[in-house]
Amino acid sequence: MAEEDLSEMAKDVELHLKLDPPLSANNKPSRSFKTSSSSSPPPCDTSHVLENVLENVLKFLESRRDRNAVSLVCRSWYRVEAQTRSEVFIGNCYSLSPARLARRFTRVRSLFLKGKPRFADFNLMPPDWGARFAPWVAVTAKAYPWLEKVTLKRMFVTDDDLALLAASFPGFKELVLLCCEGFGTSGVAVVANKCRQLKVLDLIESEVTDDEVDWISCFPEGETHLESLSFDCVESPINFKALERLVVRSPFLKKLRTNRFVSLEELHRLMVRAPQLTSLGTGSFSSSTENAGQGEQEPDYASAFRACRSLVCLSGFRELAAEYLPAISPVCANLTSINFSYANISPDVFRPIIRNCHNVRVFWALDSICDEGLQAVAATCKELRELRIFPFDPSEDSEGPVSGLGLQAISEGCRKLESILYFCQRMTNVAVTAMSENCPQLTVFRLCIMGRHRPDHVTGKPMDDGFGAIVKNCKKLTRLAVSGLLTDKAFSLIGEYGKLIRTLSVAFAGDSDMGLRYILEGCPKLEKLEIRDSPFGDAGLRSGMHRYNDMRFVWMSSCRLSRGSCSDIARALPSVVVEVFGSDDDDVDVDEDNADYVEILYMYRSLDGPRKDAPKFVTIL
Amino acid sequence: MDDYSRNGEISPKLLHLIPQGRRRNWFHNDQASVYNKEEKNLELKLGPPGEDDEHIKKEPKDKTTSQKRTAPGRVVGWPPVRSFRKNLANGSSSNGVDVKNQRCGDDNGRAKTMEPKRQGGLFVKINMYGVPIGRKVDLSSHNSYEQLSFTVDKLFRGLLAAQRESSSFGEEEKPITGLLDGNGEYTLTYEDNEGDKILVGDVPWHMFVSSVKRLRVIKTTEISSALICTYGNGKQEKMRS
Repeated sequence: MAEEDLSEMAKDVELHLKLDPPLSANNKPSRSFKTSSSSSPPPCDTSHVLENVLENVLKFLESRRDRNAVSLVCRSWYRVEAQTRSEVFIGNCYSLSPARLARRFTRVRSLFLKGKPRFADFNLMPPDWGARFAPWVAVTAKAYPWLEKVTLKRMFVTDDDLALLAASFPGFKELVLLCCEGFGTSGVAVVANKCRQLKVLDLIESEVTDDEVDWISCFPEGETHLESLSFDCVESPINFKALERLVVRSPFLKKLRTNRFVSLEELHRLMVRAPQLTSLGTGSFSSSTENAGQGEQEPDYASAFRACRSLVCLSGFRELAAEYLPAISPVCANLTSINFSYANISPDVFRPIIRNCHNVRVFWALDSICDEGLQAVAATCKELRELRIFPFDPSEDSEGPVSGLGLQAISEGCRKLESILYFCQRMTNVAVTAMSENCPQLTVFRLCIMGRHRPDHVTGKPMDDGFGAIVKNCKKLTRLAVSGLLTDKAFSLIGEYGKLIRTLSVAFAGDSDMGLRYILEGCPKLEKLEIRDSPFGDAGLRSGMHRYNDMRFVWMSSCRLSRGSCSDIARALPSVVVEVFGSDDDDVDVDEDNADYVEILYMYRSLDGPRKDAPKFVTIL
Repeated sequence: MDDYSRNGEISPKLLHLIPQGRRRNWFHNDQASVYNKEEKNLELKLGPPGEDDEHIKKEPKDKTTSQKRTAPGRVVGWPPVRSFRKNLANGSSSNGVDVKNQRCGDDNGRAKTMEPKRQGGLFVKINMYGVPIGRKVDLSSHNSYEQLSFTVDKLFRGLLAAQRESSSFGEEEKPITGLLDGNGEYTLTYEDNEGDKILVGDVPWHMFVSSVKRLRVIKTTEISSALICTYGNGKQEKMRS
């Protein structure tokens, strides 16, 4: 190792171990160097053997938290761990440079990169902010020719990036793109065509431009290795005949998620050819105009479902024709996961279906099923672990078919619940408290009362007590999103009782800086904090100075921050990158009076300092 | 569903939420306020102070309904729902709509109208007594009951004859007539969006089209029992008669 590498590694270790000053550059990079604070004799040649042993042992260690702990034991362990880590997870792509990744980890087979913060999903971030995959693919192409798996979330990926990926990794097996954008069907086509070992191609909730390329036809002829193909977010028609042929020659295919351009008749054809499927995205789930009608006999959909004996996961239903829904009945008892969240299903249609779904663990739906539908879920789905209820009409003004009634029913019926996301128009502290008491296994509680600052609709009081009960009673809670009318008291409770909370989402809540202080002076495990439109200002921000090095990121938009305090933080914490920008990407129109106001603050820790690809509208303090 | 009661107590401190800062494009619609009208003064406005009145005047009053709360001013990124989840109200099939929970905020007729969601198609299922195979009819390509009756004859005449081949003598295909007036061997009925079974032909055509969910051709002799009993699928009906 060159001296430069050693000092780089030493810097990594210093950051992690908070050691005394790093070794001087004179130390030889052999196995016999001392740690700076140790007084034990230097290891002898048996250390070579020990490292080999360690290597073989560490191969079994998969959890990244365990591996992080292992790497902190000593330099020897750090090095061996680095050489044996095959799956690398990077929660913020700007927390380190690709070069550093390549230097530390030498045998990476799987890479998981996350880019933009979550609020970018809701148009709070101007486009072209960053999180480009390009520099990563460029570096890993050279460093890890044996790379097999790439998972990207909220990254900007271009067709060129995909082409480079396809060309650089001959053994490439799995590509998963979650909430990504920047590419189109041409990029997908290249991956399909060039990655001959491809097992998984999952495009999930990503924006895929329609380049009018028949990408399905680009899969090579002959038997494929495909096990999972998901393209339900692709908003363009596909060549169905080619898909059918692809399915026929993919004997290992277990997961197939089609998009809304696949009709029910077409779905039937696919199901008949792939009864081994375990996970099915059903496409439109309605009849196409061409096939149905006067000429044709209707296929027996129920029979096709019955033949899929291994089917455990259903999604799709993008343009559901409700009269066909009973066709899924033969598989209901086996389903562990159902996603109805694109289907406007009324309670009457829903209840007979859910009645048979005793084994469901994950259930996503629209609020069109109403409180009655939720009661039906509570009555049947005793194994429910995760529930997500999305609004059919996501505005602040709509009628609101679900309420505390449904929430309470779920809490009483589904005692094993671990994760919930619930959109509603109105809520009561009583219902939230009931859930806190009935569902002690909750790790994720995200309640979105869509009307801003809305109090308990029965008592008129703030929602402090409800959320307070959640943090007090749900001792395993790691993720919390709050809403409704909340005072600083709510945050005092969250700070005090939210001992395991790692992610906290706040919007339109709180009274003063104290709210933010309570969080930052409490919540010892906090890693990700996202706040919008709340009256938290400079004093609150400063109160967290001691925390920001240990957090992944803090996002604050439309709060009461001024540049001065943000600069102070940047100065005090060199390992934290402090970005400030506005919601529009025009860098003009800054009033003299308002020049000090910070519309969006996004700060995160980084090993490699400020990024070099920041667009003009971003100021790094 | 409980009515939303607007007795919220709002802390005056919230008035000072507005930071001195750049103007945002969103604002809070006066009529969409979650507070009582009397508390309009305390209404939260998320925009620079001093421009309050201007904001109220500028707000577009584009939806005029009888409800107190009209379409609110849009806040960027709120509620926090990703864009691909936002257009469900426009794009989804109306077959599953629970009408009483849908308020589009537009004209009242819209909620009930079952318009073809895809170009050129309003397909409803049709079954006929004695024929195991169901068919589909595109109502959007029909303009009258007579035309529909004609189509039914076309769809089922051959199938019916095929079923009868198993009987003692070979029969040539007989046209299916009198579906609408009770004079034929068979009568056309339908099920509407509330689950009621109704004889076809009584209401104006467009009203029929907007409420029909499926069609059934039943034996004229079975009219009273078929329409009174709630039945499940066609099989049950066959068994009963």
